[in-house]
Amino acid sequence: MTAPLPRPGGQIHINVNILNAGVFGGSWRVPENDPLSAYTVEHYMDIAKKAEAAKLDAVFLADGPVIEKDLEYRPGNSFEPSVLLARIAAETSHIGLIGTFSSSYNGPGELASRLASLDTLSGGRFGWNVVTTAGAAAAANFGLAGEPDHAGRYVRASEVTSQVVRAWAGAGETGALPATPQGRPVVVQAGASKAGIRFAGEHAEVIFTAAQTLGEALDFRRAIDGQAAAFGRRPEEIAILPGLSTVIGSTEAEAQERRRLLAGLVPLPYAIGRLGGQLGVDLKDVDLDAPVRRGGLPEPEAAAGSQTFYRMVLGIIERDKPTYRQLLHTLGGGAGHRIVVGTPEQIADDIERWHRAGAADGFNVMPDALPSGFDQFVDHVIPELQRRGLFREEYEGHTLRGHLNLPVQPAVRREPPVHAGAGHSGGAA
Amino acid sequence: MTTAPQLIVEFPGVEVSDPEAARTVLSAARDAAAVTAARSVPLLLPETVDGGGPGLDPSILAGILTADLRGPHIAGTVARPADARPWLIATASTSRNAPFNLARRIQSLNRITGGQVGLFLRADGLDPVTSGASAGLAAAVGDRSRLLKEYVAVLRRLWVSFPEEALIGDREAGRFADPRSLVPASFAGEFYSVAGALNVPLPSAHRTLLLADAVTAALGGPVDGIIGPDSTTPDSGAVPVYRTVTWIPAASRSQALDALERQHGSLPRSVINGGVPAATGESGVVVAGTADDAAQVLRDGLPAHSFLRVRTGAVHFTALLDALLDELPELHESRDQQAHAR
Repeated sequence: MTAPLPRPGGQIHINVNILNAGVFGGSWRVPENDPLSAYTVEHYMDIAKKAEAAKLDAVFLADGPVIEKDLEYRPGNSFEPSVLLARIAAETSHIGLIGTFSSSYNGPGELASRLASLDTLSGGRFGWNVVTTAGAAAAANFGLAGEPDHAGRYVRASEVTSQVVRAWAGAGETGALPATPQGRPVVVQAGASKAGIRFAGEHAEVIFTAAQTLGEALDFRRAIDGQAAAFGRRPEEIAILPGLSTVIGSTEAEAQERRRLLAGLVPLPYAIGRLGGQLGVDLKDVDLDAPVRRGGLPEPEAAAGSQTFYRMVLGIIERDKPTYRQLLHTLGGGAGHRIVVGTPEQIADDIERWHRAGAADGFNVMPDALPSGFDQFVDHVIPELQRRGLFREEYEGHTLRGHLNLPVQPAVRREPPVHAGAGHSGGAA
Repeated sequence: MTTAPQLIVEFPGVEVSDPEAARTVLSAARDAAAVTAARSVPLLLPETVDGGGPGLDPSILAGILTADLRGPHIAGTVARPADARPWLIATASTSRNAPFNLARRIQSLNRITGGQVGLFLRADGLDPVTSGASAGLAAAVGDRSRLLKEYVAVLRRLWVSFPEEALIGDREAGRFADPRSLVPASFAGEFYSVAGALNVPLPSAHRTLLLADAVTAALGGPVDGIIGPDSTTPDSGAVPVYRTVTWIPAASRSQALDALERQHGSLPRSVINGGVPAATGESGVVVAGTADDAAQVLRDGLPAHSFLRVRTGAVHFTALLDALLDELPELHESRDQQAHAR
């Protein structure tokens, strides 16, 4: 297996993932925030402006073309990301704009021209987070009786991404698209299944991943390096940004108390339903104080839905052997990303440790509650990272590629792209 | 029913070949939107450039323009009359957009603007996501009216599927929303099958202005107006049919006439030189002349609904439009007047 390659430069990249009201299932219930703010455009505008003032690389919007089944208990994705990012672009000048768009439920021609328009009008600040969109509910909004299988979704993802990138490069069939200051939008990818890693190795310039431990993150980096090399790409031109959920206090005790508060605010029916969905098991009648039964749970490759988060939950079960209640507390009704709890200095220590170990080029930060948790992050953690010389104090460029130190892409690609799902046999992780 | 505005103005479909051109077009669009907003005349954003290729995406352009909106609304809620005129109208084709995606973008724009964005829908076939969902579906598309009828029905259902009133935000009880208030689309037709509700709420009183091209002439109720090259189609019932008026400003007359001639092979019979009225042809009316000339043609068309195209580049568009609208106080009213009137 390939050793991780050293990454140029010592600066960390930081995005804020504006995950509606915050990463935890009960984030919307914290007393300091408006519980409905995630359904107002001002919520996103204010966070984006603060992110720009703090010199972050980008704002990141997760998305899915479906209404969440848990809406009774927590907010979900709402504003369509291209429209919302256009609005944010109009009121900002530097911050990168990363939006999630499904490769399964968009046509490549329309998507290419819409996203090129966003990149052009924002002055070259856009990145496309490619997702395949798991779940039967989304499929049913597009005429499908059931969810396309995991492998099939990734074959289509590779084909659609290739078509979109070719159109951006002026080699597509959609006609000339607007030229952009960064050559073309940045391709971002989330998903750490085998097919996801293969896809990332072929296409991704930024990878948003979920890793709970340094060891997992280093293994992931090696896998990506190997895949990128197999596709003839330079691994050092791929930025890996794990998700990082933050709970900040002025003392460690205060941060831990905040963490307990957030765990207590998760509506229990929601937490049980979500975990049951991730494990593929009905947990309605389970004894919450009994140990989680590993037996009977499928292997990751056989799991439906998101394999990335299933693997992550399985890792916690095997490592910590928790009860159901303990597992629910650990997950916090959140998206399953790593949670760091502590003072700004402790959080900066954690970020620095992962960065220096080569496990992360930066982080997709997911504050515990929005906007308050992000305020704390930019007011206290960012200055600490700047003091250590790890994070920029001014923007040096205007484009997302500039912020991420990614090369500007040529207008026309010389070689046709290889389709990961079309029979290429090299470099499987 | 949403009241169809009497006059709609189209922003020029111009090619954006480099970032500098993009800045110029964006600046022109902001100016034009300000001028039309001041007179309550909706500005229609085209989907393609005049030559037919992809232009700046209208929903992205609209998203940017929303930042300039200053009006009697509270962002995130709709504080306007349900039948108020929209400020922007985005164009979109059925062949490029699955209905769920398009409905959601328009709904998002309406949530951001407090309900001030409409849609002009062009029926030109199935989108790739829908046609990929069922083998043989693409071949079944012969009658665009049937396809559009379904598409419009899906949009209408989706736009009322998530009433804003469903949002509760009860911290103490731990209830964020009332799912019983959702009205899933539950649509299963010949071409489209859409199960769920949108995830973007709007007050249930809001109705989005929806215009379609002329193949929907027999539709009646679900659409609020018809714009199209053959918009003289009879039997449109109570739905307004827009007469297309193409204005070639005097200063750009020679160049624009040459372009029209290249496009048509010869000049359409309906071209008016110097503002002399002529019969409406299949392509609507073309007037080559001053703002007075164009205003006279629009005035003569009253009380018909008019869709105005100005044959000019983005840079000069706003000044020309401003001059024209100054001549037409009867076709618009200021936002303040509109607000007071209601």
